[in-house]
Order: sequence, then structure tokens, then C-alpha cells
Amino acid sequence: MKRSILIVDDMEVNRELLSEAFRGKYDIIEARNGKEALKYIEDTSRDIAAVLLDMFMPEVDGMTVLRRMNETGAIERTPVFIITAENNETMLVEAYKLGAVDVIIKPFMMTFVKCRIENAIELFTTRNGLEKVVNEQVRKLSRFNQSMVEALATLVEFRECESDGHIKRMCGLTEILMSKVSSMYPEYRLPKEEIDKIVSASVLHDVGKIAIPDNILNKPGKLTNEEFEIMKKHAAKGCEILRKMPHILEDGVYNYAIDIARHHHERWDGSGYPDRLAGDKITIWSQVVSVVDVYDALVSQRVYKKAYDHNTAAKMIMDGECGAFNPKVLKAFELSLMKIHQKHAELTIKDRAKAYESARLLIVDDSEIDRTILRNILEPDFQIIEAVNGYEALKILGDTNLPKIDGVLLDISMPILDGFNVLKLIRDSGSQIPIVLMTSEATRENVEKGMKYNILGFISKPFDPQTVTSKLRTVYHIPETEEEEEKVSEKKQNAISELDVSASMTYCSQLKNVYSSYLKNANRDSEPYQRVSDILAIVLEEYSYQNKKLELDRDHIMLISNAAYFYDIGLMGIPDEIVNNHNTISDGLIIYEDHARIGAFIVRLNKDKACSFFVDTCAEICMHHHERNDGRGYPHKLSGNEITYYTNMTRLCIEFDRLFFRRSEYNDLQFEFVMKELDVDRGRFDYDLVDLFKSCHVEITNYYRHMKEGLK
Amino acid sequence: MDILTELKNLGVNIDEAMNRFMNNEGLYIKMLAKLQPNIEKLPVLSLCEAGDNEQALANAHTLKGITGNLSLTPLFDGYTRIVELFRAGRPDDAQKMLKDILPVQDEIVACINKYC
Repeated sequence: MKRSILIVDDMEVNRELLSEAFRGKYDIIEARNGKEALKYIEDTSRDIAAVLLDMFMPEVDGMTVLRRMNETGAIERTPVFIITAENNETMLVEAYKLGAVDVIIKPFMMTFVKCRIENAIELFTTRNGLEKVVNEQVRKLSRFNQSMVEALATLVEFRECESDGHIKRMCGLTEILMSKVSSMYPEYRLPKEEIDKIVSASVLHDVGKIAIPDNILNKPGKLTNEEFEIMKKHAAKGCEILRKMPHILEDGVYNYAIDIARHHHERWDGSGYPDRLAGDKITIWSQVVSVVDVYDALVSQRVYKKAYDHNTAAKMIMDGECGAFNPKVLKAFELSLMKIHQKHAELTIKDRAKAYESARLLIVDDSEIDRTILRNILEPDFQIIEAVNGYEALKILGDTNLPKIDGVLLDISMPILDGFNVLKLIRDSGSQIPIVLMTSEATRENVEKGMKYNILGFISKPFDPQTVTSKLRTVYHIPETEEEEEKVSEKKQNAISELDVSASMTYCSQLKNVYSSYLKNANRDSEPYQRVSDILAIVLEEYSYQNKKLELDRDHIMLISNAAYFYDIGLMGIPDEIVNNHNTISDGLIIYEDHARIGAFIVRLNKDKACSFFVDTCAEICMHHHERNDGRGYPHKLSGNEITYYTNMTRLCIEFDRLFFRRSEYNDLQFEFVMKELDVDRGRFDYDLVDLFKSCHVEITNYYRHMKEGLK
Repeated sequence: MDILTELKNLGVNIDEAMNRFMNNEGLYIKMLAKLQPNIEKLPVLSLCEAGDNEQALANAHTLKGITGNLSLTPLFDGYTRIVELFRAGRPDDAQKMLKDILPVQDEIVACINKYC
């Protein structure tokens, strides 16, 4: 049964415009004012997927509707998009506070609006629904959040060029020592749930190192006093960074994480940093993580030292060579040494023989050849079970005597009971087992049908082994070998499949949620990024029209312009005072400039090959949006054609928006003034690019004008 | 000459096949041997001539999948086009296309049978 979209606007022409975009896929309900809208919203028999809400209407306006939806809780279940021509900051902030998902400023580009709304519908759909679906989505969201936590921690790990596994070892060893301390000393006793939270929190103890320049972080020799003073700042900075991201951690973990990040370098005698705490003024969990951190550093190869053996490391700690620790914690450490040593050895990763059990995958396909090919590809990493049709699959999944199946690869085209029917039957039974669909025809219809049943994604036929393994390894967190990564990166892909577009936009939406959370906490406006994204789309369309041999189609344009939204996402890794005052704080500029590299790194945390075009484009824009045509930019001093065309365009859009948005009028004259202003700095942009941008002046000016003045 | 070289001369994309089969030649040849039984099980031309375009399309779609996974490029391209023509409501053109690729199909099957 189709879901409904409620369009609320007193002007019929506006309702018609929006209806056209969604008719067919959704039933459209129209309301002329807020009073009518609330009648539909409060009718619980209606399944409304989204509300598109104009703000200025007679009788009951949009803000009143939002307030009412807050009172009744309807705002939690249904995404509301504010559609307005007014760029009234107070009103928009109020709308966001009342739970509006997004604001669409008129005039809008229908493709993007549709995409944003459908992404939100999908997110809300998977949040609502049956209790088991909600729980599974909460678990998935937790895994995503946990992935973000691990990803942030990994970010630091990679920057430090440390050996793999420091984070995993920190977790394992923290659990051992914290449990021992808790069991030995009543004054330090903690329940298991709290110890688990401490272990999770320990993952982010060094997140502040994101803000430390590479040359210090990875210096091969001893740090100078000045360099050490900079390095020490990571403790306080880590705490600051985490304070900006409360949403990625559960409540209990969050408090431990900020404490551990700040105080894991304090010492029992007060000689530590940053706050020179002493004795039990240092929380017991920070004390434990201190010892574990020192131990792991001693027994690991680092850029500045070789690894010590376990006994030497333990002796150094017990003898106070690494700073003063709580004698009780040291006693617990001494008594746990064997366990710590074993755990450390177990977790030290040497080769592909990792400490995980192979997932059991069920391949459902009526073609013996297809099943054989997949088994051959997947068997090194997975245990494979086969089913020749949907009935056999359902029987295997329902048989509680068989070992648990971890995931299903399901062919769509099978006789009698096709893949979608099997999928429906599985989901109707309450199972949320991860399912990947296989098809030779990745039509938008198939993608939408599959996403409705909460699948993980698609695998195209004929099979490409690298794509298959990469996709499933991402799902089951199995890392690739270097050889395999290299092989995949050699493949050139020009066309973007519908599956890839879908996967990329899903990732874009998830990334936007994280970024929005950061921007809100940092009191920064997200609208400039949307404007840059929208006007870049205009420029790309013109570019595509003028350069037909580029084969830049609508999907490319959509992905590139959405990627541009995240050009400054690297600022998430820079402390606020540096962002705001980098020209006046000592070393501020060096740290600030690192946001280019940090942004690329954040974006590249998604290893799904289906998103590779989007990820590569976005990372490229993040990394090089401060380059200049004359080579005097940063970080790599690229010049001319060394910078990709879309990054150059993004740079121009950013600077243009910065100057044009604040103009009192949006017309050709003002456009010309801004272009002249930009021309003062001759070396920044290429002339051909400037000419291309100028050729879009009508569309660009109209875009801004309609934002300010509204549709006539 | 060996089977893979002969098939390569018939337009089969052996490099792609080896990539898909993880360089397991033996497994690939074993799967090639299943081509003929599948073709016999999934008639297209006879059904088309009898007017059962729906089943002809379904069989062509399946053969498209099989020939794709075996990297039998001339047949994969052919069946891809045939499926498109059936879906576009052009069964006569689909039939014409089918008659064009059948001789190539017979050659490939004959080559496989020579070695398997």
C-alpha cells in the first residue's frame, strides 16, 4: 500500500509543483492551511511518510503546526520539511528547534529536494514501524555510531602510522586491568556495565591527536621541548573535540570518554598533564587507561622507538620509569601480567589469520553456476550454505537445529518464488537478518523495492569478485589485503550504476547527520554549504552542456554537487578557538590548515566500493579546496590542471557565495561587482573557469534572488 | 591449442572469466560444461516461433545471466539485446537477433564439448 506525502501550502500552484515530484510513488494529500494539515496529521489511520510545510498560511501557520506536532509527539514519527522563500534566520532556527528535518528554500532544484526528502523518509521509515524493526534500527544506529567512534579512533591510529590494533588492544587490556582493580579494591569497585562503558570510552583516549601536526605526531626522533608542549595539548583537545559530539556516544560512555581523553596523562604524584591532578583526584578509570596506554606503547614498535619485550615493559612501569602510578593499580597490574601478556599477544595482528569467526552466509540462487562462482569467491572468508530456491532458503532459515545464518545473498530472479517474495516472507516473520540482493538489472524500481525491506545493498550480475568481497567485507568488518586494494583501485569506472547512486546518497545522508550535529553544537550555519552545493550543480550542468565528451550525466552532477557540501567537514577535527582565531594563535594556522587533510580522511572512512565515486570526489574536494591556480595554496601547492575541474569549481562557488550572499540585491550588477572583486586576486582562479561561471550568471542570480524574495 | 585459447578466438573474454573464477581454470571449465544442458533446458527460438514470448523472454533472461557469468561475451551481448527487444514488444526483431547468435552459440558449445 502506498504511503502518503502531505503537502501544506495555501497556494495551489505550489502544491501542484510538489505533488508532481512525488505522485506515482506516494499518495498525495493536500492541505491549504495548518488547520487542515493538523486534521490529517492527527488522523492516526493515515500513514504519512513526510510533511512538506509552508510557513506562511492563513488561519493556522506552519510554526503552529510544528508546535502542535511537538506536543503530540507526531514530530518524532514523521519528517517535516519546511518549504519557504523567506530566509529569516530566527524563524528557521525556531523551526529546527521544533524538530523540522530540513528547510527547502524556494526556488529549489526538484532533483535535490526529492532526494533529500526521500532520504529522510527512508530514515524515518526505518526508525518507526514494528518494534523489532525499530530495535534492529537502533542496534544498527548503535553500530553506526560505534563505527563512527571506532572510525574516529582509527583516524588517529592511521595518522600516527602506528602498527595496527592499538585501539583493539587498549580495549582488551583496559577490561582486564579495570576488572582486576574493581575486584581487588572495594573503594574502586564498579559494576560490569560500567566497566564495559569504560572500555568503550577508552577507544577515544587519543582523539585529540587529530589536532597535532603530522611533523610532530610522526617525528622519528625525540621531540624538542617545544614540540612536546604541542603534543601534550592532545589531552585537552581530545576532551574538547568529544564535547562537540555528544550524539555519537551513549550517555554513560560519553562522560567516561571526555574524562579519559583529558586525564589519561595525569600522574599519581601530580607531575602529569594537562591539569596536574594527583592521587585519587584522578578518576580510577583514567588511572587504569594511563597504565594500559603506557604498557602498549612500550611493547609496540613506534616511529621513535623499538618495541620492548613484555617483561622489560612491565618492570619499567613497576619501577616508576614511566611516571608515578597509584600503588594499588600497580599491584593489580602486577597480578594481571600474565593475562595482559596473553591478551596482547592474541590481539597483535600479524596476518590475515584474524581473531574472528567466519560469518555463515546463505546463497539463494536457482543457477548452479552463479552459486558456484559466489562460493568460490567467498569461501576464503565465509562459511557458505546454498539454497536452490526460495522455499529451501526459508526452510534453512527457519530450522533452529542448524547453526545460525549470519547473512543472505538472495537472487531476485528465481522461478515460482522470486527474491522479493522471499524477502517479504523473511521480514514478515520478524527476522532482520542482513540480506544482500543479487540482480543483473539494478533498476531504480528494484532498488526502491529492496530498500523498503531494509536490505543492506545489491550485488550486480555478472559478478565482479572485487566488488562482491569488498561489499561483504564492509558488512562483516573484514579488512582487505593491500594487494586486493591495489587491484580494485586500478579498475577505472566511468559509469555509475543506480545501485552506486543509491548507496552514495545513503552515505551522504548519514554523513550529513553527523556533520549537522557538529555544526549545531558549534553554532555554525549549514546553509552556506547547501548554497555552494546548489550553485555548483548549476555550473556543472553548464560545463556538461559545453563539454559533451565528458559524459557528465545527471547522476554525476548530483553526486559531485552533494559531495561539495562537505568541503569543510575537516573542521570537526580542529578546536573551535583555532577555527575562529587561527591567524592570531601561535601555530594556529598550521593546525587550521590540516582541516583539508582531516576532511579527506573522515570522508574516506567509508570503504564501500559502491560509494567510491562519491567518496573520491568528496575527499578530493576536502583535500584541495584551498589550492590556488597559481600554486600558492595548500596543502599540496597544486596549480592549474593539477587541481580537478570540480574542485576548482567548488573553490569558486565558495568564494562567490561568501561575497555574493551578503549583498543587498541579487542582480547582474552585483554579480559583476563580485566577479571583479574575485578578479583582484588574479592567481586564484583559472580564466576559463571564471568565464564558465559568468555564463551561468542568470541561473545563479535567480537562485539567490528567489531565496531572498520568494516566488512571485 | 587448449580450450581457453580456442574459446578466446571465438570472442570469449577469458581474462574476465579468470578474474571472476579467481584464476581457477578447472572450475571454469567445469562450469562451461554446464552451458549445453542449460541451453537445452531453456529454449528460446522454439518458444518464440510458437508465440510464447513471455517464456521465451524468461529463458533468454536466464541465458543472459549464465553467459554473462561465463564471460561468453558474444552470447551475453546477444541475449542482453534479445531481452531488451522482447521487453520493447519487438519479438520479431528478438527472433532475428537470436538467429544471428545461434551459430556462434553452436560453435562455442562444440568447442566446449570437444574438451569436456
